[in-house]
Amino acid sequence: MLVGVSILTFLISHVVPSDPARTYAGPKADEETLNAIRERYHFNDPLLDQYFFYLGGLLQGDLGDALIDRQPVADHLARAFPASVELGIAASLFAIPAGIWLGIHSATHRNRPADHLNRVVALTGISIPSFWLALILQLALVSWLGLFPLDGRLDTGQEAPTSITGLYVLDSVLTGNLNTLEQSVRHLILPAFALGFSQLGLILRMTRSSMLEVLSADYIRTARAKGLSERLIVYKHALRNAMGPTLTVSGLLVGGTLTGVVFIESIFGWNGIGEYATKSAYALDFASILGFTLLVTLIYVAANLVVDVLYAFLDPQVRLGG
Amino acid sequence: MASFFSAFAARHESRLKELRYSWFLFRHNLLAMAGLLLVIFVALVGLFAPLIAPQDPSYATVGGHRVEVWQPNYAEQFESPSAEHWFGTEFFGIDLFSMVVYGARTSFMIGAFVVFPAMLIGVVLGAFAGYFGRGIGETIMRITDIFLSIPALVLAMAIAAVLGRSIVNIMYALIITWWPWYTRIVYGQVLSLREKQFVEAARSVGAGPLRIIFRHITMNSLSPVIVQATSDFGYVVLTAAGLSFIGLGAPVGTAEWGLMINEGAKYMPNYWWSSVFPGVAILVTVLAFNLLGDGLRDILDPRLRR
Repeated sequence: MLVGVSILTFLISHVVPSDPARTYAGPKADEETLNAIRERYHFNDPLLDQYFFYLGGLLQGDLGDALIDRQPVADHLARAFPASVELGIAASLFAIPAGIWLGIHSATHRNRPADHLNRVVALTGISIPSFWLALILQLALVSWLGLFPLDGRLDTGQEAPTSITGLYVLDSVLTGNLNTLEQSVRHLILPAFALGFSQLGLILRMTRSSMLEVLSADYIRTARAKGLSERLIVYKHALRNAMGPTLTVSGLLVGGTLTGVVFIESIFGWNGIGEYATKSAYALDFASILGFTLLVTLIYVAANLVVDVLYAFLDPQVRLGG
Repeated sequence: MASFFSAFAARHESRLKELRYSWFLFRHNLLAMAGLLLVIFVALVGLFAPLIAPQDPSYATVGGHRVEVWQPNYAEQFESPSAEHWFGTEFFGIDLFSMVVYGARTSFMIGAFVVFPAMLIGVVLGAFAGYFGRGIGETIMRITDIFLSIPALVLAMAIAAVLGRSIVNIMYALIITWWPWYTRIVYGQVLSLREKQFVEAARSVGAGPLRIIFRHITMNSLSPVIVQATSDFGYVVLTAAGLSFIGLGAPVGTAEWGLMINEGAKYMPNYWWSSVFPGVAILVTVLAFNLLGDGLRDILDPRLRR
C-alpha cells in the first residue's frame, strides 16, 4: 500500500512537463548551475532509476529539499509536527465526546426540538467551510468581543516552555509552568473549536442514525420490558452496539483533521505542518507539498489500521469471519 | 405523439409507478424539498448571473465606459453594505454582490465538470472490476485503494500544486481525487448483483458481458452512486473553494468564493463583509446539496422507507 502511495507521489512530482532544476535554481541560473543541480538530484537518470533513488531516500527519511530555503523537508515537518498534534488532539477531545453525547441525545429525543436543533448543528458542521468559520470566530470573538487572543500559540514575546514533547500545554504541565499553561490553553481554544466543528457534525450524524437503528431493536424492547432503567439501556445496551459505525468514521475523522489543519493553522498563525503546507502551496514548492502528503498519508493509513483492529475488538463477528 | 406516450407509459408502468411513489415521498420530506429548491435557486443564480448582478465583476464602469479592472477604484473601495451595494464593495471597488452571484457560476461549473467525469470513470472501472473479479478486478481495486489512502484534499493539493494555478487544473486534480469513491461503491454493488438470477437469465439468452455489465448490473446499482454524487457535488464545491483559499485554485481577480474569502481575510476586522458573504454562499450551497443528498438517500434506500 505505502509503496503504491510512494509511486503515486513520485509520479505526481516527476512526470510534470516542467524543468524541476530550473525551479530549484531560479530563473537567472546559467546552464552550468542547472547541470550541477540536475546531477545532484538525478534529474538526468531514467525514470525508473529516479524512482529507486527517491524510494531509497524515503526509506532513510529523506523527503528532498524545500524550495524556499533548501533545508530538508523532513526537518521542516519534524519541527512543525508537534504543534499540529497538539491542535488535532485538542479538536478531537472536544469533538468526539460532544458529538457522541449530542448524537445520543438526539436519538433519545427523536423529532423533538432538541433533535431538530442537533441535526441543524450537524448539517452546518459538515457543510461549513472551516476556514470561513475560523475567520468568523476571529471576527466575532476576538475583534468585536476581545475574548480570545487572535493567533499564535502563546502571547507575543512569551518564550516557549522547555520542550519535552513539543506540545505546549503538556510541556507546561510537565515543567509546572503555570504562566505558559494558561496562555497556551487560551490560544488553543478557538483553533481547536474551528477544527473540531465539522468532526462534531460527522460524529453526531453517525451516532444519531446508528443509535436510532439500535434503539428499535428487539433486545432493547426486552431490556425495557424487564424494567431496566432508561439510562442503563441507552448507555450500556444500545451505545455499545451503536459504536461500530461511529468507529468506522473515526478513520475518516483523522483524515478530516489532517486536512483541516491546512486551513486552520494558516489563519491562526499556528506553526504546524498545515501552515507549512499552505506556505509551500503558495510558493508552489512541490517537494514540500509531497513530503506533507506522504506524512499525512502515513498517519491516515496507520489510523485506519488502528480502527480496523479496534473494530475487530468491539465486534466479535468480524473476528470470526476473518 | 400521444400514442407514443401511452405506449411508453404502458411499457414502463411499474417503473413509472415507482418514480411517482418516490416523488410522493420526496415531496413530503420537508428538508429534502428545501435542499432541492436551494440547489435550483443557486443553479439559476449562476445561470442568469449577467441578468442578476448589477455589474460584471471583471470590468469596472468608469465615466460610462467599461474598462478592465487593473487598479483599485479608490473612490468606491471597501464601501460597507448599502442599498446600492447589498454586500458592500471590495479592494478594487467592485460590487461584492455581483462577485458572489458570478461565483455561483464558477462553483457550479467546477462541481459539474468534476462530479460527472469522476462518476463516469469510477462507475465504469468499478463495474469492470466487480464483474471480472480476479486479475483485472484486483488490479483496479488495488489502484483504487492507493488513491483512497490519501485524504482527498491533500491529494488534490499535491496535484494542483504540481499542475499550477488555474481553475481547470483544480478540476483535473479533483477528478483524479474523486473517481475512486465511485469505483468502490459500484464494485461492492456489482459483486452482490453478479450472481443474481436475472444476470444468469440475461447470460442464458446470450447477452454479452458488456451488455450484462452496463445494461443489467450497473443500471441496477446506480442509486447509491446518485446519492453519493449529490452530496459530493457540495463537497467538491467546498474543496475547490478551500484550494482557492490556500492560493492553489482560481487566479487573483476571479469571482470564486474561496478566493474572495482569502482576499477579504487580509482586511478582516475592518472590512468584514468582503469575507463574510462569499462564505455564506458556500455554506448555503453545500448545505443544499447535503439536504438533497440526505433526502435522496432516504427515498432510494428501501430499508429506510418505514
